[in-house]
Amino acid sequence: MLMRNSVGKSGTQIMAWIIIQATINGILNGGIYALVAVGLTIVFGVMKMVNFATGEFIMWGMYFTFLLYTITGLNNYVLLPMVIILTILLGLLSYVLVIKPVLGRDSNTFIMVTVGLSYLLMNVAQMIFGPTPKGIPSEIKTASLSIGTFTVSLPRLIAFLSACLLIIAIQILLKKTMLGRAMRATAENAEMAQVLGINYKQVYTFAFVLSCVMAGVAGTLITPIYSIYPSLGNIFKIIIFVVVVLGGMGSVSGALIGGLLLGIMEALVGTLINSNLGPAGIFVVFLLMLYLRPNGLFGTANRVA
Amino acid sequence: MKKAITFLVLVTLFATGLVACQSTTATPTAVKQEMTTAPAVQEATTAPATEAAPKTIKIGAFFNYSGSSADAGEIDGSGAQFAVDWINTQGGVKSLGGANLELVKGDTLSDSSQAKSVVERILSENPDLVAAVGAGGSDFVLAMGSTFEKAQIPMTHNGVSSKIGEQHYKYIFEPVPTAFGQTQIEFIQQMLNKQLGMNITKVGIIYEDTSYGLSVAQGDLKLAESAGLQVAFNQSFPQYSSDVSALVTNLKSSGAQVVLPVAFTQDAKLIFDTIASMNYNPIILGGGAGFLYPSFGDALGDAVNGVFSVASLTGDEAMFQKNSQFKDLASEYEKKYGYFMSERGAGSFDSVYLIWQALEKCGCTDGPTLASTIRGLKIPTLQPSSAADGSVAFDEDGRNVNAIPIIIQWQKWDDGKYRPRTVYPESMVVGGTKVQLETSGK
Amino acid sequence: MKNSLNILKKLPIAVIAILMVSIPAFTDNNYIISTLVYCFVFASLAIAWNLIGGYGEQVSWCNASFVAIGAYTGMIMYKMLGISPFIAILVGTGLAFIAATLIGYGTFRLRGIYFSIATIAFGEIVRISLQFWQGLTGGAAGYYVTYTGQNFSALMFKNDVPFYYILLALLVIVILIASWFERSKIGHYLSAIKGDEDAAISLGIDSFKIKLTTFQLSAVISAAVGTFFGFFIGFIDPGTVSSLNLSVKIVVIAIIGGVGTIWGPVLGSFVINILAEGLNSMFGDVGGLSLAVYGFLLIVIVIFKPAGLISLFPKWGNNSKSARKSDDESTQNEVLP
Repeated sequence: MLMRNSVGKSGTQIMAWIIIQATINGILNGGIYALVAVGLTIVFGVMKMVNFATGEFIMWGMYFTFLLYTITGLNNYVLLPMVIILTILLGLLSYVLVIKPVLGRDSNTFIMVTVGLSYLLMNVAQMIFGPTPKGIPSEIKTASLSIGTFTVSLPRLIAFLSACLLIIAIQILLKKTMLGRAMRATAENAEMAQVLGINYKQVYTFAFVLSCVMAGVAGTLITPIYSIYPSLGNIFKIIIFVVVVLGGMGSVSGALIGGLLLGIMEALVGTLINSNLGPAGIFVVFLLMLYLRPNGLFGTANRVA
Repeated sequence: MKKAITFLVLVTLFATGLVACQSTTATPTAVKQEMTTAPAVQEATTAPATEAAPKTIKIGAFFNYSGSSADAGEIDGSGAQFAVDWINTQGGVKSLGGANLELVKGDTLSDSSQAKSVVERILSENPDLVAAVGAGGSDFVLAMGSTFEKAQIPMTHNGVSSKIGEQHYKYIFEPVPTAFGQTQIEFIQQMLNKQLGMNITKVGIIYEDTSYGLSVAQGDLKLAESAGLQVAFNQSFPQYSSDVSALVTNLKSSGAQVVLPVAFTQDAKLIFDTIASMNYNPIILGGGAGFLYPSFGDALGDAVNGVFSVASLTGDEAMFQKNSQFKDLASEYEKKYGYFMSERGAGSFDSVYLIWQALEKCGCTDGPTLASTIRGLKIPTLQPSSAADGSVAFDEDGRNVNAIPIIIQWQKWDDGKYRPRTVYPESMVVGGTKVQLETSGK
Repeated sequence: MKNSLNILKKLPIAVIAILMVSIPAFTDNNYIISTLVYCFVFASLAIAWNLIGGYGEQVSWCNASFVAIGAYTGMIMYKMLGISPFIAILVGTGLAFIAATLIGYGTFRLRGIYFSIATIAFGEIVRISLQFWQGLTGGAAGYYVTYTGQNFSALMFKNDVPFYYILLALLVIVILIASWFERSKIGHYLSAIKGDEDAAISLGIDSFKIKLTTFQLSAVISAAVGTFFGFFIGFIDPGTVSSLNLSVKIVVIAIIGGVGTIWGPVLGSFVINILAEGLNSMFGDVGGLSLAVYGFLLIVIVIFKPAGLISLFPKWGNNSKSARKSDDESTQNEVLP
């Protein structure tokens, strides 16, 4: 349902304004999707598994931020390094207790185990923090920049830029470091990598914990924007899976582009057609793209880079 | 063969286990129709008309204690528990020998497809259950209604959909009002335009795509246009959205002066912040739900000052006008639970209160008599009422025809905290409370 | 020799069947009956899923959509046209057939995880469509049928015993269909495709058609069950009945029970449903605890029983090679131990 006309401007001018504003909104959201999707796609590339509990790690990142805020009173950005540490711990714990015992099994097992993990994480959060949504006061939560006639929400902009920086850092990690090469080799062919002396167990651990950290960081970045509550993961879960697959499983640049693309698509459909259909827009575009490129935009089966 | 026998044994054990788990005097809900008196006492032998009075009266509380709506469920549950505790300090049900009330929790897990099994389980585990209160929303009331109807157990609830009454069930009671949209529109016309001289002509309706959102928004839409207000924008959005910029962008372009949003806390915060970040300053007249929760106030901080919303009721002075018994309830509740008595908390209190009053009046515990007693009650409760004495009045379908919605505005109370206050209609406003226009529409 | 073995093998089934049929005679407790109805419903749904997800190893996350199609069709046709669900079921299954065909054309070119996520996308599209099409379905407000008294053709009953027998009968039919499927040509082709799709294609098997037909069968069964399920719970809405949550529940039941077998999903359904009820009963007082324990137990069961709970009963679990298959043969979905 399109907007009703405001005074003075021509129809096409308004339409153009709306499209551009929507695109800006979409890019900003897409950055957050991309951040989490990159973590997920790395896990898939390296371990060939989908982590159904991804959304819950975002949620826990937010709760960690909230906890630290209650103790220290510092704002969420400053708390980022400490949140990362806590998320690493949570990720390691999850890996050791839940993932490691099922390595070597088929994908169904991973699905089940991460579904169970997702229930566990969500409800333990509720038992500890209670179901009432929490928030961290933030001076910038309603702040925005004006670029011409367009509005850019400040917290979302910061999240977007941080996400981009992180993704670039990840790319550097993957391309330039030994660890990164080890990950790519394992993703390419785990047996061969083992023969070449790569300790794939460490690689798996690192990949999984890395994805948890990225989700946790995303959580910290979005605390000014969203209320914190146990089932928050549900908002992002499906979209992120779609982003990962669209981009091509294992492709970091695919996840980035996929995230931005779907963010824009959701915003455009939501603005031009109907807010309720925003998500549907994502799915339709996704399916169309898959039809044309069954391995995703950049996927050539399990590449991590 | 051995394994197959194990399997058999396991299955039999499961089945037997379920049966054994239940009370040995299990009254089959299936054949309740034939019984005239529910066995309220486990120890009673036969059921003569003058059975021994029970020591506790069990009331089921069917709310979303877990799952995605657990935040609302927690408030619902606290209101009901508070009522039970308060009633017990008042001496319980005197006409039943001072029997205490006991709340039996039925967690509907934020999943309406499981609601039926939750009710069945609670009824099975508590065959002496006398009444029930609920629920997570109109969808849950609809999901559970037929089970209570078949079991002949009265249920009072806080659902606001008019569809519930359309079922003509005899055991389902709705103490809260349903005409939210009407009150919102009247508020704009009578208070904002007429009394305060504003010139509101354009409204925008945005609502979450849920049963609650639909019922309020549909009311708004119908009435706004007939009241001469232009609905400049009207759209729903998915519950728990990741982003409402698209929505607010269009809303802002439409030039709506008053926005009527319907959402729960998470989305309400998102909407509010997005509107503020776009330098758009409409008057916000919430559709209840999240706009009334304590967590909304916490999420917005000072910015919540001045926000309006429609509500069934809220825990302020207006609530106690017609019944001084209730005077200290809100402060005691807040002391106990740490958050103020909001619409939901007060609503579930009312639900329990009505059952208590009916129990007192009839001195009975069987479903059919209790239900007709509830229907016949003419007492003031917390729910604002159009009657001079503040009383409820239930019609054949269980609707409280006297219930009227109110408009609240978040204001700073004497202790410096922000809470909703009743500002409309005039009949419900307690001396001194005024609409504060300076704070709204920042 | 073979004959007596067969009879011995059939005996437990017969005993269970007799047991199931007579339970309502032993108890009046509607809660037990109602819980068993949930068990039957999800057993049928899990078996249906297993056709494509277990035998075919195409993990579908949208089976709830078919359940919803069946449920909505049944209720809408009754409320608006006064048509009995026993007749509406034909329409519901037909619509599900069409939906499965559309989804199949959209997804069966895809392999592995791509297929799975694509089914999530389709499932969400169905849910959003049901929610958007308010005029017909009531949208997010849901759809319901008011109880107005005992009426068999409208599936309205004073207690749930008739539902018990209807869904039990349906379960038996579904088991028979699955049995037939396993031994049929299409079942064998599907098995070959599961083993190595490219090799199967090179042998002349029309992989697409086989997968599509299996998916269609899965959808039709799910919709049939869905029609009865809708009336059983009395109130349906897109967010609950057409949701990823429900699809996940079906998949969990099938996998926990044991994929690629007939009795696995049945066992899974009984265990999961009864377990959930037990947890709610024990931990219902603390918000969130029962679901947390549920998640924990899922993890534990999967870690210790990789081939599903049916592997506790090897005679019953090894009907198809698939049960053992999940442990060895490498597919692209394997991770080194």
